[in-house]
Amino acid sequence: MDLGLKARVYIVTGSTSGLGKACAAALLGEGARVVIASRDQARVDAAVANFEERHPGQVRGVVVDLIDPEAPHSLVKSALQGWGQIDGLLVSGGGPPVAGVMTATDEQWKDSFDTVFLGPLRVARAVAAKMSAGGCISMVLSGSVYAPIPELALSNGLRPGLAMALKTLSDELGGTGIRTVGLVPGRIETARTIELDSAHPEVSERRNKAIPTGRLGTPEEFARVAAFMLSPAASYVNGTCVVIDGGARRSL
Amino acid sequence: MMDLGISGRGALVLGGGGGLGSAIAKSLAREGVKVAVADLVEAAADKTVAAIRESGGEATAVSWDLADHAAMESTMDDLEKSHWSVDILVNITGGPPPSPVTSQTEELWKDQFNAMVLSVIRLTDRLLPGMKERGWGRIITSTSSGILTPIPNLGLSNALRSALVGWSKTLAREVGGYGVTSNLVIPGRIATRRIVFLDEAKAEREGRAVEDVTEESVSSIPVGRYGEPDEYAAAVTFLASASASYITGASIRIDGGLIPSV
Repeated sequence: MDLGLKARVYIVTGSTSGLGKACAAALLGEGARVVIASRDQARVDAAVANFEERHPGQVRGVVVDLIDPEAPHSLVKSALQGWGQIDGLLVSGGGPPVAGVMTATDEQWKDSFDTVFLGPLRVARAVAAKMSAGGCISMVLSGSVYAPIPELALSNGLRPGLAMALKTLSDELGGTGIRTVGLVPGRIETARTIELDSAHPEVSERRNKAIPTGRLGTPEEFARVAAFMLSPAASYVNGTCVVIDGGARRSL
Repeated sequence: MMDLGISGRGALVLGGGGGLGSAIAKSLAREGVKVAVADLVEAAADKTVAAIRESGGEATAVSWDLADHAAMESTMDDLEKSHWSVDILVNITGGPPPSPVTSQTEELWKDQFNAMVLSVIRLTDRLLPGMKERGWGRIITSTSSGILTPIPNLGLSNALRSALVGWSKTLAREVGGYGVTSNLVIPGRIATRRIVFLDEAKAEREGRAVEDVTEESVSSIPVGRYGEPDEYAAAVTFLASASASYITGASIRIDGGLIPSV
Protein backbone atom coordinates (compact mmCIF):
# COMPACT_ATOMS: atom_id res chain seq x y z
CA MET A 1 0.00 0.00 0.00
CA ASP A 2 1.35 3.38 -0.90
CA LEU A 3 0.89 5.47 2.24
CA GLY A 4 1.82 8.62 0.33
CA LEU A 5 4.55 9.48 2.83
CA LYS A 6 7.34 10.14 0.35
CA ALA A 7 8.99 13.56 0.96
CA ARG A 8 6.41 14.47 3.61
CA VAL A 9 7.78 16.17 6.70
CA TYR A 10 7.15 14.90 10.24
CA ILE A 11 8.25 16.01 13.69
CA VAL A 12 8.59 13.14 16.14
CA THR A 13 9.41 13.95 19.76
CA GLY A 14 10.96 11.42 22.09
CA SER A 15 12.36 9.75 19.01
CA THR A 16 15.80 8.68 20.21
CA SER A 17 14.41 5.63 22.00
CA GLY A 18 11.39 3.40 22.46
CA LEU A 19 8.15 3.93 20.60
CA GLY A 20 9.14 7.36 19.27
CA LYS A 21 12.28 5.96 17.68
CA ALA A 22 10.41 3.04 16.13
CA CYS A 23 7.82 5.43 14.69
CA ALA A 24 10.52 7.69 13.24
CA ALA A 25 12.11 4.63 11.63
CA ALA A 26 8.79 3.54 10.12
CA LEU A 27 8.13 7.00 8.67
CA LEU A 28 11.67 7.21 7.26
CA GLY A 29 11.28 3.76 5.77
CA GLU A 30 8.28 5.02 3.80
CA GLY A 31 10.31 7.91 2.43
CA ALA A 32 9.22 10.64 4.85
CA ARG A 33 11.53 13.31 6.24
CA VAL A 34 11.72 13.41 10.01
CA VAL A 35 12.84 15.89 12.65
CA ILE A 36 14.24 13.72 15.46
CA ALA A 37 13.99 15.22 18.94
CA SER A 38 14.72 14.43 22.54
CA ARG A 39 16.26 16.04 25.62
CA ASP A 40 19.75 14.65 25.31
CA GLN A 41 22.30 15.98 22.81
CA ALA A 42 24.36 12.77 22.67
CA ARG A 43 21.28 10.62 22.04
CA VAL A 44 19.99 12.98 19.35
CA ASP A 45 23.40 12.97 17.63
CA ALA A 46 23.58 9.18 17.77
CA ALA A 47 20.04 8.68 16.46
CA VAL A 48 20.51 11.19 13.64
CA ALA A 49 23.81 9.58 12.60
CA ASN A 50 22.21 6.16 12.71
CA PHE A 51 19.15 7.15 10.65
CA GLU A 52 21.19 9.33 8.28
CA GLU A 53 23.19 6.28 7.22
CA ARG A 54 20.11 4.52 5.88
CA HIS A 55 18.11 7.59 4.89
CA PRO A 56 20.56 10.28 3.82
CA GLY A 57 19.08 13.78 3.69
CA GLN A 58 15.83 12.69 5.39
CA VAL A 59 16.78 13.47 9.00
CA ARG A 60 17.33 16.51 11.17
CA GLY A 61 17.93 16.54 14.91
CA VAL A 62 16.79 18.95 17.61
CA VAL A 63 17.51 18.87 21.34
CA VAL A 64 14.43 20.02 23.26
CA ASP A 65 12.65 19.45 26.53
CA LEU A 66 8.90 19.82 26.07
CA ILE A 67 8.52 21.54 29.44
CA ASP A 68 10.41 24.46 27.89
CA PRO A 69 7.88 26.90 26.36
CA GLU A 70 10.37 27.56 23.55
CA ALA A 71 10.54 23.88 22.55
CA PRO A 72 7.71 24.03 19.97
CA HIS A 73 9.41 26.96 18.26
CA SER A 74 12.70 25.04 17.90
CA LEU A 75 10.92 22.03 16.43
CA VAL A 76 8.85 24.03 13.95
CA LYS A 77 11.88 26.08 12.94
CA SER A 78 13.97 23.01 12.23
CA ALA A 79 11.32 21.43 10.01
CA LEU A 80 10.64 24.62 8.08
CA GLN A 81 14.33 25.46 7.67
CA GLY A 82 15.08 21.99 6.46
CA TRP A 83 12.17 21.31 4.18
CA GLY A 84 9.81 24.31 4.17
CA GLN A 85 6.73 22.39 5.32
CA ILE A 86 5.24 20.28 8.12
CA ASP A 87 2.83 17.43 7.37
CA GLY A 88 2.63 15.73 10.70
CA LEU A 89 3.52 15.61 14.36
CA LEU A 90 3.89 12.64 16.66
CA VAL A 91 4.36 13.45 20.33
CA SER A 92 5.94 10.56 22.17
CA GLY A 93 7.67 10.70 25.53
CA GLY A 94 8.14 9.13 28.90
CA GLY A 95 5.36 8.63 31.40
CA PRO A 96 5.03 10.27 34.81
CA PRO A 97 6.49 8.68 37.97
CA VAL A 98 4.81 5.82 39.81
CA ALA A 99 2.45 7.06 42.53
CA GLY A 100 -1.03 6.55 43.91
CA VAL A 101 -3.71 9.19 44.35
CA MET A 102 -3.04 9.10 48.10
CA THR A 103 0.74 9.29 47.74
CA ALA A 104 1.46 11.65 44.84
CA THR A 105 2.53 15.08 46.07
CA ASP A 106 1.16 18.40 44.78
CA GLU A 107 4.60 18.98 43.33
CA GLN A 108 4.41 15.71 41.37
CA TRP A 109 0.98 16.58 40.00
CA LYS A 110 2.19 20.01 38.86
CA ASP A 111 5.38 18.61 37.29
CA SER A 112 3.45 15.82 35.59
CA PHE A 113 0.91 18.28 34.26
CA ASP A 114 3.78 20.13 32.58
CA THR A 115 5.37 17.03 31.06
CA VAL A 116 2.33 14.87 30.30
CA PHE A 117 -0.24 17.51 29.39
CA LEU A 118 0.98 21.03 28.74
CA GLY A 119 4.20 20.13 26.91
CA PRO A 120 2.49 17.96 24.27
CA LEU A 121 -0.43 20.38 23.93
CA ARG A 122 1.88 23.35 23.37
CA VAL A 123 3.74 21.53 20.59
CA ALA A 124 0.46 20.46 18.98
CA ARG A 125 -0.79 24.04 19.00
CA ALA A 126 2.41 25.47 17.52
CA VAL A 127 2.71 22.81 14.84
CA ALA A 128 -0.98 23.06 13.88
CA ALA A 129 -0.50 26.75 13.19
CA LYS A 130 2.21 26.00 10.62
CA MET A 131 0.98 22.71 9.22
CA SER A 132 0.03 21.96 5.63
CA ALA A 133 -3.57 20.97 4.82
CA GLY A 134 -3.92 17.20 4.99
CA GLY A 135 -1.51 17.03 7.93
CA CYS A 136 -1.98 14.99 11.06
CA ILE A 137 -1.31 15.66 14.72
CA SER A 138 -0.84 12.52 16.71
CA MET A 139 0.13 11.64 20.26
CA VAL A 140 1.23 8.45 21.94
CA LEU A 141 -1.22 8.23 24.85
CA SER A 142 -1.74 5.37 27.29
CA GLY A 143 -4.29 2.77 28.27
CA SER A 144 -4.96 5.12 31.19
CA VAL A 145 -7.11 7.14 28.77
CA TYR A 146 -9.74 4.41 29.22
CA ALA A 147 -9.00 2.55 32.42
CA PRO A 148 -6.88 3.37 35.45
CA ILE A 149 -3.51 1.62 35.64
CA PRO A 150 -2.61 0.66 39.23
CA GLU A 151 0.02 2.95 40.76
CA LEU A 152 -0.01 5.31 37.80
CA ALA A 153 -2.38 7.86 39.30
CA LEU A 154 -0.58 10.73 37.61
CA SER A 155 -1.07 9.17 34.20
CA ASN A 156 -4.65 8.15 35.02
CA GLY A 157 -5.46 11.68 36.07
CA LEU A 158 -3.83 13.53 33.19
CA ARG A 159 -3.90 11.39 30.03
CA PRO A 160 -7.71 11.36 29.66
CA GLY A 161 -7.59 15.15 29.72
CA LEU A 162 -4.98 15.17 26.98
CA ALA A 163 -7.06 12.79 24.87
CA MET A 164 -10.03 15.12 25.28
CA ALA A 165 -7.92 18.16 24.37
CA LEU A 166 -6.80 16.33 21.22
CA LYS A 167 -10.44 15.63 20.35
CA THR A 168 -11.28 19.30 20.91
CA LEU A 169 -8.39 20.25 18.65
CA SER A 170 -9.76 18.09 15.83
CA ASP A 171 -13.09 19.94 16.11
CA GLU A 172 -11.33 23.28 16.02
CA LEU A 173 -9.07 22.36 13.10
CA GLY A 174 -11.73 20.66 11.01
CA GLY A 175 -11.96 23.33 8.37
CA THR A 176 -8.20 23.37 7.82
CA GLY A 177 -7.91 19.77 6.68
CA ILE A 178 -5.71 18.85 9.64
CA ARG A 179 -6.55 15.62 11.46
CA THR A 180 -5.78 14.45 14.98
CA VAL A 181 -5.34 10.84 16.08
CA GLY A 182 -4.46 9.50 19.52
CA LEU A 183 -2.44 6.28 19.64
CA VAL A 184 -3.03 4.12 22.69
CA PRO A 185 -0.36 1.48 23.21
CA GLY A 186 -0.85 -1.52 25.45
CA ARG A 187 2.19 -3.40 26.66
CA ILE A 188 4.89 -2.97 24.03
CA GLU A 189 8.30 -4.55 24.30
CA THR A 190 10.43 -1.42 24.68
CA ALA A 191 13.62 -1.27 26.75
CA ARG A 192 11.60 0.47 29.50
CA THR A 193 8.92 -2.24 29.60
CA ILE A 194 11.55 -4.98 29.73
CA GLU A 195 13.29 -3.15 32.56
CA LEU A 196 10.05 -2.67 34.51
CA ASP A 197 9.04 -6.29 33.95
CA SER A 198 12.36 -7.66 35.14
CA ALA A 199 11.79 -5.98 38.51
CA HIS A 200 8.61 -8.01 39.14
CA PRO A 201 8.82 -11.05 36.87
CA GLU A 202 5.85 -12.97 38.35
CA VAL A 203 3.53 -9.98 38.23
CA SER A 204 4.54 -9.20 34.65
CA GLU A 205 4.15 -12.77 33.53
CA ARG A 206 0.63 -12.94 34.92
CA ARG A 207 -0.25 -9.60 33.37
CA ASN A 208 1.20 -10.49 29.97
CA LYS A 209 -0.65 -13.81 29.92
CA ALA A 210 -3.90 -11.90 30.32
CA ILE A 211 -3.33 -10.18 26.97
CA PRO A 212 -5.57 -11.93 24.40
CA THR A 213 -2.72 -12.22 21.90
CA GLY A 214 -0.69 -13.86 24.67
CA ARG A 215 2.36 -11.69 24.09
CA LEU A 216 3.69 -8.14 24.22
CA GLY A 217 3.58 -6.06 21.08
CA THR A 218 6.77 -5.09 19.31
CA PRO A 219 7.74 -1.44 18.81
CA GLU A 220 7.65 -2.11 15.05
CA GLU A 221 4.06 -3.34 15.22
CA PHE A 222 3.09 -0.15 16.99
CA ALA A 223 5.11 1.98 14.58
CA ARG A 224 3.50 0.57 11.44
CA VAL A 225 0.10 1.61 12.79
CA ALA A 226 1.46 5.05 13.63
CA ALA A 227 2.87 5.44 10.11
CA PHE A 228 -0.48 4.51 8.60
CA MET A 229 -2.47 6.83 10.85
CA LEU A 230 -0.11 9.76 10.21
CA SER A 231 -0.24 9.21 6.45
CA PRO A 232 -2.67 10.50 3.81
CA ALA A 233 -3.93 6.89 3.50
CA ALA A 234 -5.81 7.46 6.79
CA SER A 235 -7.40 10.66 5.48
CA TYR A 236 -10.85 10.01 7.03
CA VAL A 237 -9.62 8.88 10.44
CA ASN A 238 -9.94 11.93 12.66
CA GLY A 239 -10.68 12.94 16.23
CA THR A 240 -10.34 9.45 17.60
CA CYS A 241 -7.99 7.15 19.49
CA VAL A 242 -6.65 3.92 18.05
CA VAL A 243 -5.84 1.21 20.57
CA ILE A 244 -2.85 -1.05 19.78
CA ASP A 245 -2.81 -3.41 22.73
CA GLY A 246 -3.31 -6.98 21.58
CA GLY A 247 -6.86 -6.80 22.95
CA ALA A 248 -5.72 -6.11 26.53
CA ARG A 249 -8.25 -3.39 27.23
CA ARG A 250 -11.16 -5.00 29.05
CA SER A 251 -13.82 -2.43 28.27
CA LEU A 252 -15.55 -1.83 24.94
CA MET B 1 5.39 1.35 -0.28
CA MET B 2 4.42 -0.49 2.88
CA ASP B 3 4.32 -4.23 2.29
CA LEU B 4 1.14 -5.29 4.03
CA GLY B 5 2.18 -8.93 4.00
CA ILE B 6 -1.14 -10.32 2.77
CA SER B 7 -0.36 -11.12 -0.84
CA GLY B 8 -1.71 -14.58 -1.64
CA ARG B 9 -4.17 -14.59 1.27
CA GLY B 10 -7.86 -15.23 0.67
CA ALA B 11 -10.67 -12.90 1.66
CA LEU B 12 -14.44 -12.98 1.78
CA VAL B 13 -16.09 -9.58 1.58
CA LEU B 14 -19.79 -9.38 2.34
CA GLY B 15 -21.76 -6.68 0.58
CA GLY B 16 -19.00 -6.76 -2.02
CA GLY B 17 -21.27 -5.34 -4.69
CA GLY B 18 -22.17 -2.30 -2.60
CA GLY B 19 -20.37 0.99 -2.09
CA LEU B 20 -18.24 0.08 0.91
CA GLY B 21 -17.80 -3.61 0.10
CA SER B 22 -16.71 -3.11 -3.49
CA ALA B 23 -14.13 -0.48 -2.47
CA ILE B 24 -12.78 -2.88 0.19
CA ALA B 25 -12.69 -5.85 -2.21
CA LYS B 26 -10.78 -3.84 -4.80
CA SER B 27 -8.39 -2.43 -2.21
CA LEU B 28 -7.59 -5.90 -0.85
CA ALA B 29 -7.11 -7.20 -4.39
CA ARG B 30 -4.56 -4.46 -5.06
CA GLU B 31 -2.52 -5.94 -2.20
CA GLY B 32 -2.51 -9.32 -3.91
CA VAL B 33 -5.37 -10.80 -1.89
CA LYS B 34 -7.70 -13.29 -3.63
CA VAL B 35 -11.16 -11.95 -2.95
CA ALA B 36 -14.45 -13.82 -2.83
CA VAL B 37 -16.99 -11.07 -3.43
CA ALA B 38 -20.36 -11.81 -1.82
CA ASP B 39 -23.55 -9.96 -2.51
CA LEU B 40 -27.23 -10.76 -2.41
CA VAL B 41 -27.43 -9.22 -5.87
CA GLU B 42 -25.34 -11.53 -8.01
CA ALA B 43 -24.88 -9.00 -10.80
CA ALA B 44 -23.43 -6.50 -8.31
CA ALA B 45 -20.88 -9.05 -7.09
CA ASP B 46 -20.03 -9.90 -10.70
CA LYS B 47 -19.37 -6.25 -11.45
CA THR B 48 -16.84 -5.96 -8.61
CA VAL B 49 -15.19 -9.22 -9.68
CA ALA B 50 -14.91 -7.99 -13.26
CA ALA B 51 -13.29 -4.74 -12.11
CA ILE B 52 -10.77 -6.65 -9.98
CA ARG B 53 -9.90 -9.05 -12.79
CA GLU B 54 -9.53 -6.18 -15.23
CA SER B 55 -6.83 -4.72 -12.98
CA GLY B 56 -5.05 -8.07 -12.89
CA GLY B 57 -6.40 -9.22 -9.53
CA GLU B 58 -7.96 -12.53 -8.56
CA ALA B 59 -11.61 -12.67 -7.53
CA THR B 60 -14.71 -14.83 -7.58
CA ALA B 61 -18.35 -13.98 -7.01
CA VAL B 62 -20.62 -15.71 -4.49
CA SER B 63 -24.22 -14.95 -3.71
CA TRP B 64 -26.60 -15.98 -0.99
CA ASP B 65 -29.19 -14.41 1.26
CA LEU B 66 -27.39 -13.64 4.55
CA ALA B 67 -30.47 -14.67 6.50
CA ASP B 68 -30.37 -18.15 4.91
CA HIS B 69 -28.16 -20.33 7.10
CA ALA B 70 -28.24 -23.40 4.85
CA ALA B 71 -27.31 -21.35 1.79
CA MET B 72 -24.32 -19.91 3.66
CA GLU B 73 -23.13 -23.41 4.62
CA SER B 74 -23.32 -24.74 1.10
CA THR B 75 -21.67 -21.64 -0.38
CA MET B 76 -18.77 -22.00 2.05
CA ASP B 77 -18.53 -25.71 1.27
CA ASP B 78 -18.27 -24.88 -2.42
CA LEU B 79 -15.60 -22.25 -1.79
CA GLU B 80 -13.54 -24.76 0.19
CA LYS B 81 -13.91 -27.40 -2.51
CA SER B 82 -12.40 -24.94 -4.95
CA HIS B 83 -9.46 -24.50 -2.53
CA TRP B 84 -10.44 -20.99 -1.58
CA SER B 85 -9.45 -20.43 2.02
CA VAL B 86 -10.78 -17.40 3.83
CA ASP B 87 -8.08 -15.73 5.93
CA ILE B 88 -9.75 -12.33 5.95
CA LEU B 89 -13.46 -12.01 6.60
CA VAL B 90 -15.07 -8.62 6.12
CA ASN B 91 -18.56 -8.63 7.62
CA ILE B 92 -20.80 -6.02 6.06
CA THR B 93 -24.56 -6.33 6.34
CA GLY B 94 -27.21 -4.22 4.73
CA GLY B 95 -28.89 -1.45 6.62
CA PRO B 96 -32.41 -2.03 7.98
CA PRO B 97 -35.34 0.17 7.02
CA PRO B 98 -35.26 3.56 8.80
CA SER B 99 -37.63 3.54 11.76
CA PRO B 100 -37.97 4.48 15.42
CA VAL B 101 -37.50 1.72 18.02
CA THR B 102 -41.05 1.98 19.27
CA SER B 103 -43.99 0.09 17.78
CA GLN B 104 -41.99 -2.16 15.48
CA THR B 105 -43.30 -5.67 15.03
CA GLU B 106 -41.60 -8.56 16.75
CA GLU B 107 -41.26 -10.17 13.36
CA LEU B 108 -39.26 -7.22 12.02
CA TRP B 109 -36.90 -7.31 15.01
CA LYS B 110 -36.37 -11.04 14.59
CA ASP B 111 -35.86 -10.85 10.84
CA GLN B 112 -33.35 -8.04 11.15
CA PHE B 113 -31.54 -9.77 14.02
CA ASN B 114 -31.25 -12.84 11.83
CA ALA B 115 -30.00 -10.88 8.81
CA MET B 116 -27.68 -8.41 10.55
CA VAL B 117 -26.39 -10.20 13.64
CA LEU B 118 -26.89 -13.94 13.55
CA SER B 119 -25.71 -14.12 9.93
CA VAL B 120 -22.37 -12.60 10.93
CA ILE B 121 -21.99 -14.84 13.98
CA ARG B 122 -22.78 -18.02 12.01
CA LEU B 123 -20.50 -17.17 9.12
CA THR B 124 -17.62 -16.30 11.44
CA ASP B 125 -18.14 -19.56 13.36
CA ARG B 126 -18.07 -21.42 10.06
CA LEU B 127 -14.77 -19.86 8.98
CA LEU B 128 -12.89 -19.68 12.29
CA PRO B 129 -11.69 -23.31 12.46
CA GLY B 130 -9.78 -22.82 9.19
CA MET B 131 -8.21 -19.59 10.41
CA LYS B 132 -7.17 -21.18 13.71
CA GLU B 133 -5.71 -24.17 11.91
CA ARG B 134 -3.64 -21.91 9.66
CA GLY B 135 -2.68 -19.74 12.65
CA TRP B 136 -3.71 -16.51 10.98
CA GLY B 137 -6.95 -14.68 10.49
CA ARG B 138 -8.69 -11.34 10.36
CA ILE B 139 -12.32 -10.77 11.25
CA ILE B 140 -13.37 -7.24 10.47
CA THR B 141 -16.95 -6.27 11.19
CA SER B 142 -18.34 -3.07 9.76
CA THR B 143 -20.93 -1.39 11.94
CA SER B 144 -22.21 2.17 12.11
CA SER B 145 -21.60 5.37 14.05
CA GLY B 146 -25.01 4.59 15.57
CA ILE B 147 -23.39 2.11 17.97
CA LEU B 148 -21.74 5.06 19.73
CA THR B 149 -24.07 7.89 18.84
CA PRO B 150 -27.53 6.49 18.13
CA ILE B 151 -28.85 7.91 14.87
CA PRO B 152 -32.42 9.22 15.11
CA ASN B 153 -34.86 7.05 13.19
CA LEU B 154 -32.34 4.26 12.61
CA GLY B 155 -33.53 2.41 15.68
CA LEU B 156 -33.08 -1.13 14.41
CA SER B 157 -29.54 -0.42 13.27
CA ASN B 158 -28.59 1.35 16.52
CA ALA B 159 -29.89 -1.50 18.66
CA LEU B 160 -28.91 -4.54 16.62
CA ARG B 161 -25.45 -3.49 15.45
CA SER B 162 -24.56 -2.86 19.09
CA ALA B 163 -24.89 -6.59 19.70
CA LEU B 164 -21.88 -7.11 17.45
CA VAL B 165 -19.77 -4.77 19.57
CA GLY B 166 -19.81 -7.12 22.55
CA TRP B 167 -19.53 -10.11 20.26
CA SER B 168 -16.42 -8.83 18.46
CA LYS B 169 -14.68 -7.88 21.71
CA THR B 170 -15.44 -11.26 23.30
CA LEU B 171 -14.28 -13.03 20.16
CA ALA B 172 -10.95 -11.16 20.19
CA ARG B 173 -10.09 -12.71 23.55
CA GLU B 174 -11.23 -16.18 22.51
CA VAL B 175 -9.14 -16.32 19.33
CA GLY B 176 -6.19 -14.07 20.25
CA GLY B 177 -3.88 -17.00 20.87
CA TYR B 178 -4.38 -18.33 17.34
CA GLY B 179 -3.06 -15.34 15.41
CA VAL B 180 -6.62 -14.28 14.65
CA THR B 181 -7.73 -10.71 15.31
CA SER B 182 -11.27 -9.41 15.60
CA ASN B 183 -12.02 -5.74 15.15
CA LEU B 184 -14.88 -3.40 14.43
CA VAL B 185 -14.75 -0.64 11.89
CA ILE B 186 -17.14 2.23 12.43
CA PRO B 187 -18.00 4.29 9.40
CA GLY B 188 -19.28 7.80 9.75
CA ARG B 189 -21.00 9.17 6.70
CA ILE B 190 -19.31 7.61 3.69
CA ALA B 191 -20.63 8.71 0.29
CA THR B 192 -22.46 5.58 -0.87
CA ARG B 193 -25.93 5.04 -2.30
CA ARG B 194 -27.12 4.18 1.22
CA ILE B 195 -26.19 7.67 2.44
CA VAL B 196 -27.97 9.29 -0.52
CA PHE B 197 -31.02 7.14 0.28
CA LEU B 198 -30.95 8.12 3.98
CA ASP B 199 -30.61 11.81 3.14
CA GLU B 200 -33.50 11.54 0.67
CA ALA B 201 -35.66 9.70 3.19
CA LYS B 202 -34.97 12.32 5.85
CA ALA B 203 -35.73 15.14 3.42
CA GLU B 204 -39.06 13.57 2.55
CA ARG B 205 -39.97 12.94 6.19
CA GLU B 206 -39.19 16.50 7.18
CA GLY B 207 -40.47 18.15 4.01
CA ARG B 208 -37.12 19.71 3.17
CA ALA B 209 -34.84 19.81 0.15
CA VAL B 210 -32.29 16.96 -0.06
CA GLU B 211 -29.47 19.49 -0.59
CA ASP B 212 -30.48 21.15 2.65
CA VAL B 213 -30.35 17.86 4.58
CA THR B 214 -27.00 16.93 3.05
CA GLU B 215 -25.49 20.33 3.77
CA GLU B 216 -26.60 20.16 7.39
CA SER B 217 -25.13 16.68 7.70
CA VAL B 218 -21.80 17.64 6.13
CA SER B 219 -21.47 20.68 8.37
CA SER B 220 -21.70 18.41 11.43
CA ILE B 221 -18.54 16.55 10.36
CA PRO B 222 -15.28 18.17 11.53
CA VAL B 223 -13.50 17.50 8.22
CA GLY B 224 -16.44 19.13 6.44
CA ARG B 225 -17.21 16.43 3.88
CA TYR B 226 -18.54 12.91 3.47
CA GLY B 227 -15.85 10.24 3.32
CA GLU B 228 -14.98 8.39 0.14
CA PRO B 229 -15.46 4.61 0.02
CA ASP B 230 -11.75 4.34 -0.86
CA GLU B 231 -10.81 6.07 2.39
CA TYR B 232 -12.88 3.54 4.32
CA ALA B 233 -11.35 0.72 2.30
CA ALA B 234 -7.80 1.86 3.02
CA ALA B 235 -8.34 1.64 6.77
CA VAL B 236 -10.03 -1.77 6.49
CA THR B 237 -7.21 -3.06 4.29
CA PHE B 238 -4.65 -1.88 6.81
CA LEU B 239 -6.54 -3.68 9.60
CA ALA B 240 -6.59 -6.81 7.45
CA SER B 241 -2.84 -6.64 6.98
CA ALA B 242 0.05 -8.26 8.76
CA SER B 243 1.01 -4.75 9.90
CA ALA B 244 -2.06 -4.57 12.15
CA SER B 245 -1.11 -7.74 14.03
CA TYR B 246 -1.33 -6.12 17.49
CA ILE B 247 -4.70 -4.46 16.95
CA THR B 248 -7.50 -6.67 18.21
CA GLY B 249 -10.66 -6.20 20.23
CA ALA B 250 -10.58 -2.63 18.98
CA SER B 251 -13.07 -0.33 17.31
CA ILE B 252 -11.60 1.84 14.60
CA ARG B 253 -13.60 4.89 13.60
CA ILE B 254 -13.37 6.14 10.04
CA ASP B 255 -15.72 9.06 10.43
CA GLY B 256 -13.85 12.28 9.79
CA GLY B 257 -14.36 13.14 13.46
CA LEU B 258 -18.18 12.89 13.32
CA ILE B 259 -18.69 10.93 16.54
CA PRO B 260 -18.63 13.63 19.22
CA SER B 261 -17.01 11.63 22.01
CA VAL B 262 -13.50 10.33 22.75
